[in-house]
Amino acid sequence: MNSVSGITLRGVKAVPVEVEVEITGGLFNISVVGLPDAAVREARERVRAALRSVGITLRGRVAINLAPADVPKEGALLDLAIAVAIACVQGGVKVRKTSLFIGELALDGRLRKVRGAVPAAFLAREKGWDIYLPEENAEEVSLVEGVSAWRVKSLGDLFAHLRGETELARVGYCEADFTPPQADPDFSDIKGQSAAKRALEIAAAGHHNLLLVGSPGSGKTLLARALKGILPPLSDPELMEVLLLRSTVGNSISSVRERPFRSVHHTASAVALCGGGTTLRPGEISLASRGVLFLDEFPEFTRDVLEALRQPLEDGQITVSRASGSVVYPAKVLMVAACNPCPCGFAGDPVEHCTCSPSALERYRRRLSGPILDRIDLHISIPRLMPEELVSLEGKCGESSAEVAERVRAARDIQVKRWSGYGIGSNSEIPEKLLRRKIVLTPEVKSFLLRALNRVRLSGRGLSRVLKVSRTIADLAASEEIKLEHVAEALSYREGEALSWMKI
Amino acid sequence: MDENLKTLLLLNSLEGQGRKLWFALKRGLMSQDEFWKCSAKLFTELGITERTIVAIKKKIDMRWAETEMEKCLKLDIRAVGIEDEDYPAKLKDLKDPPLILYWQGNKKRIPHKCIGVVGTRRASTYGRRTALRIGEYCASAGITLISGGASGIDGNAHQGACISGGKTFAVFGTGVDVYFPQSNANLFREIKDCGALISEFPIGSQGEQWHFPRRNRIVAALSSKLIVVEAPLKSGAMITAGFAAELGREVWAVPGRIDEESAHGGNKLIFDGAYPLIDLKDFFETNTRESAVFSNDDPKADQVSDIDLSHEEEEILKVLRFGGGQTVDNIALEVKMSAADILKIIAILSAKGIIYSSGSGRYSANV
Repeated sequence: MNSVSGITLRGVKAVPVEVEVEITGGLFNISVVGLPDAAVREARERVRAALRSVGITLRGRVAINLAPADVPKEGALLDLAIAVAIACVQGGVKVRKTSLFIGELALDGRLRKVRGAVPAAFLAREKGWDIYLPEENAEEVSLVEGVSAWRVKSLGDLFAHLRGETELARVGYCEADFTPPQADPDFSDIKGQSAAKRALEIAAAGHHNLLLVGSPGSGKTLLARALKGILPPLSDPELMEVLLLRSTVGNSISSVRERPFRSVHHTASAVALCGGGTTLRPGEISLASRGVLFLDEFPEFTRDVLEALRQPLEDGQITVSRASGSVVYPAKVLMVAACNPCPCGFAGDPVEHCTCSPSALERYRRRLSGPILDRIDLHISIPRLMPEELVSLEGKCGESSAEVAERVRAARDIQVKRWSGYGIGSNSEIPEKLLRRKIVLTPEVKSFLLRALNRVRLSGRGLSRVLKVSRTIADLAASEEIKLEHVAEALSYREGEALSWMKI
Repeated sequence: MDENLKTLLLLNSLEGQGRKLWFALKRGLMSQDEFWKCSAKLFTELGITERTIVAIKKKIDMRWAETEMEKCLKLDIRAVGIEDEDYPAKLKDLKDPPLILYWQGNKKRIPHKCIGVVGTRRASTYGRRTALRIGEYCASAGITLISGGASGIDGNAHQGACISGGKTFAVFGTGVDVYFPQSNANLFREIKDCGALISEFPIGSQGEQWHFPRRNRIVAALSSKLIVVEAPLKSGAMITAGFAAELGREVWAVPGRIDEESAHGGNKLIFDGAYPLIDLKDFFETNTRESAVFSNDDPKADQVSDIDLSHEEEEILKVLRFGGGQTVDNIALEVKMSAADILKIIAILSAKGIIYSSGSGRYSANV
């Protein structure tokens, strides 16, 4: 006998759940065993009503077993599998090939969209099974190559298909479009801010984390959003990773190859950011994986949230451990943090006056320091433009995102070529050992750097970050040698330099 | 143990009333022995209040002065009495010179010619920068710098003197062992090396509000010239300037923009007759000639002229010299270069220390 299976999610992986049904005489009763959560237990009512709508009326004692028995099952996506398993016993339906059935049932037998369709499709592909899924999930699954998937509108259609009366439509594979998504906002939409745009370009090229400091209204959020538009489109393996995550939480996909951009509010908890919770969901840092994680009002985040971010930023993945086991989520993000220069926001502004007391300033800046800032390679302050400055920039729109993206792509290609033998993909990931060996400065540049180091008092870690950023700047200029101008520019993105005007 | 010092320590801790008793001792109305016996009758005759007498009794009973001296020994603090030969003579210009100066640091004496620098804690980038450079100039001219150790102008002035190897003294409104503000703790440690921390307040005193105007009068008295860098109308710096004027010290003020509140004080001083400080180089040349320690080490002038600048660098520097606080885009409007090139040159110029970041994403030239 071919088994009927559904799935339950474990991290971003689908675990097959075999559904067994036994119906015996007695008073009407449905029981579900095998660690079902509330949503699964409630499936009884949905399944009963949906079956009735296609003419199958349940009688007697119905026992439903979800195997393996020791894995907790969650979500409404087991509805369909349970309905099919019952129909196999009572409704004359035959499953000719082992298949996965996923979908939430409406009382009238329609199928509703579920989260987890992509992980399920991966599982089906791996096992060589067929998969039946709701019409609304077909779009995301169509991006996965080599899956034998059927789109199901309602329970009636599915039973007709299984009885061999009619044929359901298949989900065809369609390759994701490679034309780069429209940048929104485009670089050319942002007036002035050449310095910040340049920093974004470097960040995108070398995957360097970025801190934007500027008064309210200076355009920090706009700039952060524009970063997405100059990153190269997702490659196929990256796309699959992003698709998996989005499907796991049930987010829809808009522009397929566009990189994710997640903006997190500062009241977010560590769990919301890093993932976890009783039902194990990926956090914002995983949803932003392969894209941009934007933390506005950076100093307002609680300390433990920022501390929790450290490890995933370093490792590119996050392991969430619970009593029921641990799951690994990807967390390969480009972090963009933004903050005001002081609590009132106007420190260093040429017109507005800062009204903060010195002690409030000190408290604020103390929150701005700390280990998390050590993971940020580029520090940049953004001027709030005066009305007359904005007017004078009218009509000068500068480069478009597409032009910048082209340079970023070229620089990334150089890095991939250089570092492919070392298992790293970008300059920001160069390990310390390799840094000393592979980044060689000419004597002239070295002495310049030494002089500068004395002035800005750079730590060892700070120095390696300057070197990494210099490497990226040289790559952007397609220069194999790191020149003085590259190092000088890298130095200007150092905290002590870029934010020197903020000192108390 | 030095009986005299012990008496002074105790008297110093009594503030105004202590001074009365000290005069009595000086005029021979009372002997030291009589003081330590603490006769209420004698004290009342000398016009000492009931409260103070109780306080004196308590302090004598708990051997306060002895403990204070032990603390001094332990923390390596000198207590310089008013009759000590190291006691700065200029303080005696005050009508109420401190009886004791607690003194922690390498330098044992304050030279006669010093420059005091005061200003607001909420300083602008311009103000902090100016203070820093005054400190540097002082150091290279070999002039001692006095200030109050607060954040903002004070801290930057000290900093400038310290990093350029000059001498500087910080006058505290707390005990010399109480670092306030904490954020300046590292600076204070440096000052101990290249000068000293001084205070009239007993060891461990916290910064009461009324301490700071008292501290200011010492800053004013110790300086032969006082520079007000940036100060709003109502501020400690203006109080210091008032003391300095009363004591007949030269008061200088750095002019500021008239639409900035933090410059009102300095501008008002100039209006009222203080010297405007419009050229640091000039000011220090004049002053060094006076103090006959003429030196050619002009920190900035050499540095700038020594470095060869390319044509593009010159051009950008010209724009910034004409008006500071420019963004990259503003410069791009003035010179015929792409924004990317300007950024590159700005990076090099600031690495060379010729220009600096004067505000969020804005740049100015070092003169």
